[in-house]
Amino acid sequence: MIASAKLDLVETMDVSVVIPVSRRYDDVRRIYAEYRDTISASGKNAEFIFVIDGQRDFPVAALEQLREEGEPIEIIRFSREFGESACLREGVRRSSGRHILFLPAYFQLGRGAIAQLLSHMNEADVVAARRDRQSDAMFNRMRGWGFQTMARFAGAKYDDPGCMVRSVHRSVFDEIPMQDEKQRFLPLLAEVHGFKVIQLTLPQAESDAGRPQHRLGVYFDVMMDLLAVGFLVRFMQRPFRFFGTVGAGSILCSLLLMGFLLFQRQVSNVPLGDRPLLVLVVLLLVLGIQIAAIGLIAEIVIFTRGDGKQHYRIEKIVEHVSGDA
Amino acid sequence: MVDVSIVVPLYNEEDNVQLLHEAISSALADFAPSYEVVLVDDGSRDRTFDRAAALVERDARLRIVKFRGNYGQTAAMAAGIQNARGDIIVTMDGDLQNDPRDIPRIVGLIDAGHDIVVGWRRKRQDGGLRVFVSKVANSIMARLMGVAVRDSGCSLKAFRSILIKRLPMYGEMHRFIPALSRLAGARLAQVEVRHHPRQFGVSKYGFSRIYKVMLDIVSIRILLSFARRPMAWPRHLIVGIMLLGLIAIAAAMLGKGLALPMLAIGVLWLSLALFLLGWAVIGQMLASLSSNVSGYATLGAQLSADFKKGD
Repeated sequence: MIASAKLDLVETMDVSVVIPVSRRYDDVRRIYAEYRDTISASGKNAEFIFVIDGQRDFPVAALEQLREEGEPIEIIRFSREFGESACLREGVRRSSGRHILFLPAYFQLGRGAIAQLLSHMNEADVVAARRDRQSDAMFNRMRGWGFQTMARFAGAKYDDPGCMVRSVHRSVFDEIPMQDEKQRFLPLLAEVHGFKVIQLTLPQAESDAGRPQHRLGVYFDVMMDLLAVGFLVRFMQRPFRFFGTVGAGSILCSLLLMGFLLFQRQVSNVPLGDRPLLVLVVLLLVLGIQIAAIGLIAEIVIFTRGDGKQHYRIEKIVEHVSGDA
Repeated sequence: MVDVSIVVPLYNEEDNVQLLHEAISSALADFAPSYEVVLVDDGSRDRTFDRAAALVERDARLRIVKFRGNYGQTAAMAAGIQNARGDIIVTMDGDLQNDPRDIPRIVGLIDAGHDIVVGWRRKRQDGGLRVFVSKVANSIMARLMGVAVRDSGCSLKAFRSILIKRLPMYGEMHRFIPALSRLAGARLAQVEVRHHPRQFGVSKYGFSRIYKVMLDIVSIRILLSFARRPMAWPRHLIVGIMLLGLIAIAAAMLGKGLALPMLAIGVLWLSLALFLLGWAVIGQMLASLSSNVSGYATLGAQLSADFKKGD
């Protein structure tokens, strides 16, 4: 509350639209016209920031022409490819609007979807869109489903991290630094930090449906990020609960195996000392202790840096203000 | 400046806020020391905050800390404690199961020279299974921590603020506060308190899983020994494992010929000891980068020194 009141002094813009341009883009003029018309129809004023991720053959001239025609466009161009999150970070840094609206440089959502998002913009700090994949190609739908399941497993409720359409209140970026690829999980991180987040299911654009979207390596990266974020969200406070469980599992396996070996020695008289399986027993035991030790180190890290202010956010403190106080 | 701060975390307690305020006010009407009440709204989804804020208009002794989201009971307690101004801090539940009429008594015990006073709900008014789980957890805790606290789960506690503001409070640490304080050298008293069944709302506790408590105890014990001697926390483990390794290698050598599996085992154990030594060094590095590690180790001595000065 207080933060937004303070920012009112410097802000004139309602919405800063940040559009990262990487490998995939549609006709710039069409995209821009569509976005501009949708936003002005909702009665908000906006600035547009295109961040071009070093794509040499991107028609910057068209954008510059629009800019010369007096359109509120800012163009940032990277000299080489730095990735989408670098684009977003740079875009956010140059923006001045109260809300920052991330839009892709291609049609990802169907007609009217963005207007719908804009109408919900003031209800929450973060409004995330999620594509309704009804008309998508089979493979994309399967992948979307697989990803959703995975996300749920990791504890993420916002299950279309590939959908770039998001509206984010400026105050969110004061607390959540945009790092590496974590921006995909911005809705989840924002929720962990106590911001209000809503997710809208919006129709997918026809041109987006049925398109193979990324290289295979990208999926792997996203999975790793998902695990990292899921872990942070769940076990940030008590890492030993996670590592201790895994370690205990390994030690338990080892003990069971040892029991089996002892049983064989007693019953079938197989000598214990020179059995290779014994090495596995000890290996599992060592592994278990190692994993548990990593968990303890993680606990120590949290203990040593914990001044106790990181894990909760106070919105406000209400108290009686008397004259003599 | 006030003498006593009463910290109450609230989560979805709209029906209880007013009753709680009345109960505290009437119980402490004849209470000589000055007091304040710090209510912490842990991101309630109902009207808890509005009702509490309305009370502030009428009672200047009330302060409300509102969280932006729901961060759990430990966080709420920690925030309340950090924002309390009293020399003595009393914590209690917001669901009226604790009785504010016990407050003068437990505060009296602090004045009598204890650093921490823990309530003991002898006649607990909860479901049978919940009481059972809690009893088992308490006895495990007593055994593993080496500190017998009858009822760690009782929220009605009083602390000297210099003690509680220095204890680590995150995760679900609030459960271990009595044991932690005791291990730090604080003087602990336990006193029987009244306990009422819930009037409004539903209980927000699931059955605390004993297994989680056990994992937490292991990590807290390690943290304690780390705080005392940052480098030395895995020392027993390292010595034991090195011995195991040496014995295994000796056994491999002593037989007729070299027993390869046994040798491999010996090397494995020795490598583990080396790794643990590495972790110990990492621990030392972390400790030297941070200023608040030694604070805990010296807490006990400081508590008793302060007490003599203040008295």
